[in-house]
Amino acid sequence: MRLLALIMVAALAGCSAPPPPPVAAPVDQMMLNEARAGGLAFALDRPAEAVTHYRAALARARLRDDLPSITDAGTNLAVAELRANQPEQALADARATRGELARRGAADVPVLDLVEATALYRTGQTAAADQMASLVQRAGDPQAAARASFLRGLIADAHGDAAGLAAARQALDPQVDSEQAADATELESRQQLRLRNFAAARTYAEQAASLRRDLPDYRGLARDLALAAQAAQGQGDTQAASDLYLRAGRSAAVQGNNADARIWLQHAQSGDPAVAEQARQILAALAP
Amino acid sequence: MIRLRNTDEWVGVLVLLAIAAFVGGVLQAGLLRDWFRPVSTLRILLPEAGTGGLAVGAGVEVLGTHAGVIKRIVIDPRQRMYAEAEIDDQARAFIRRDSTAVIRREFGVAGAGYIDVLRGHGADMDWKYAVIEANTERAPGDTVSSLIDDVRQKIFPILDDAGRAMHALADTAETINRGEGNVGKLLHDDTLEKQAEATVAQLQQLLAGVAGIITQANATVTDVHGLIRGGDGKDSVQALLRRTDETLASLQTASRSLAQAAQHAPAIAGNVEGSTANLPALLTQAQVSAQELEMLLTQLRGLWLLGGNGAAPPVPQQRLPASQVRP
Repeated sequence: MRLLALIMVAALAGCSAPPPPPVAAPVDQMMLNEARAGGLAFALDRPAEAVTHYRAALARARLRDDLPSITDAGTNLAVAELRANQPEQALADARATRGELARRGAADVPVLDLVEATALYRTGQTAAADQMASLVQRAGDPQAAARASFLRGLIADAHGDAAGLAAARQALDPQVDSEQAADATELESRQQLRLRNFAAARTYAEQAASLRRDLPDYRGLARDLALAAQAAQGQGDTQAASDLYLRAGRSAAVQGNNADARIWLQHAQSGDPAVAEQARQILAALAP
Repeated sequence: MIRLRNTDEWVGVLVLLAIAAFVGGVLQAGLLRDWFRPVSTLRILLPEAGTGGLAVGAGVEVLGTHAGVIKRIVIDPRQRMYAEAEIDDQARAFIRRDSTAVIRREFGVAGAGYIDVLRGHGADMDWKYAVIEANTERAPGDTVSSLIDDVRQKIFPILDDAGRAMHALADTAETINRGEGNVGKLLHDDTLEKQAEATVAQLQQLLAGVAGIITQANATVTDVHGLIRGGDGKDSVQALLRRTDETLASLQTASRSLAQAAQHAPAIAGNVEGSTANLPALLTQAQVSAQELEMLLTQLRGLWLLGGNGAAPPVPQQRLPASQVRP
């Protein structure tokens, strides 16, 4: 009888509920909803919708005068704008949020600085972008620092600075995660291209494109395909170069990255007639 | 009796001098050089028509330079005629598989025959069994005869055609002179001129008729005007006008009703706008509800009763990670 009682007590103890979670601080439900909807839209690769929701979340955060929420919503808004191919707007919003942080004596947010550096790079202000990226490298956020190193590598390559490119490549560790592996492989390809080792450059660029496809990072994928096309052109394989440029331009066109799409599709017209015709059709369908 | 002393020695000296003179002569003639010069054998297949004056001992030239001699000409009814030539090794480099030989005469149409081997550019010759084809150079006389034949074949038909053309031209001229045919009639017969004059006269009559038709048309137009203003057709035209008035009146009524209905359009549009204004928020709420449902499912999956480990669901990150910032 005693044994039965003990078994029942143990069973009842097993059925007991876990301790209740601590009560969360009251928040603005509308702001949370907008922020979550923005995150969902961003995850579903609908950056324009994400921009709308993050902007509404930022407005609610400003309504509450809630600095952490302003920082989060402002950063997310700028990231979504970058994804939606609005680098000028992303730069303005990132600067506005950073200015508010500075006025209120809050610490810099490395991701926000990284967004600003990237927006500067994409608007052609490479010197300022490089300076901002160097700040991010020293800010102590390893993930942001790695992406800043990659950005500095791209800038160094654009300026023909082989030493800067090599330093950026050295700063990345492909073993950390797939993002860094893809970035390191792309910079490796750019180094080989600079050394005129076109076969190796093409192999690395195609590897980087494959890694970006798995992430997924389609903007980087299109850029790596164009890099592979450049290497193929160096090898004298104009057919392959034309095909790779077509693939890069087509991907960029679907992403709404019309500026890069135009350049790559124009390059694609110098090869196989069928590829050239396809490139002409996509170019004609691009919005002005 | 004179007795020569040392006769044997003198005879020996004479023999030695003769041998020395012979060796000197041979060396001077270059025979030894020929004997020791490295040569290769080349078979030259001769044309079916004959050797073309080629004989044993005839020279073989490569690039205009003497490069060998014909050593043997083989004439055998069972196979094609060929000549065997010895070729200097220094000329071997210019004789390839695609080389051909031409049998020429020393002075074009006369003289001894010789073989001119043309330089080849193909694969190297297998000198263990080197064979090339030879052709006979065409005699200049043959070329001239052939040329005359060609010219005769082309010129005589032209002359025949020219003769026929002249005959035809003469016939035509005679026909015209006799006033036959279209051109002859035109030149000798005035019928055509008379016909043209008659045609012009008919055209004038036709124009007079057209003027009458225009006058009648004017009269008809005047009648129509009269009909519209009054007269016999007055009732029908007025009925038509009356119907038009009625139609216009109906149209006016319809447009007035439309104007009244249009006054409600802003209100309708406002209602539509009000109804659709909440749609984005509704969509947002739906999305968030769906997300929360997903989180609930995640939480349920974590319950130990349903086989989970009881761990709390991961808290969603508020800020997007740096990896989402893409250059």
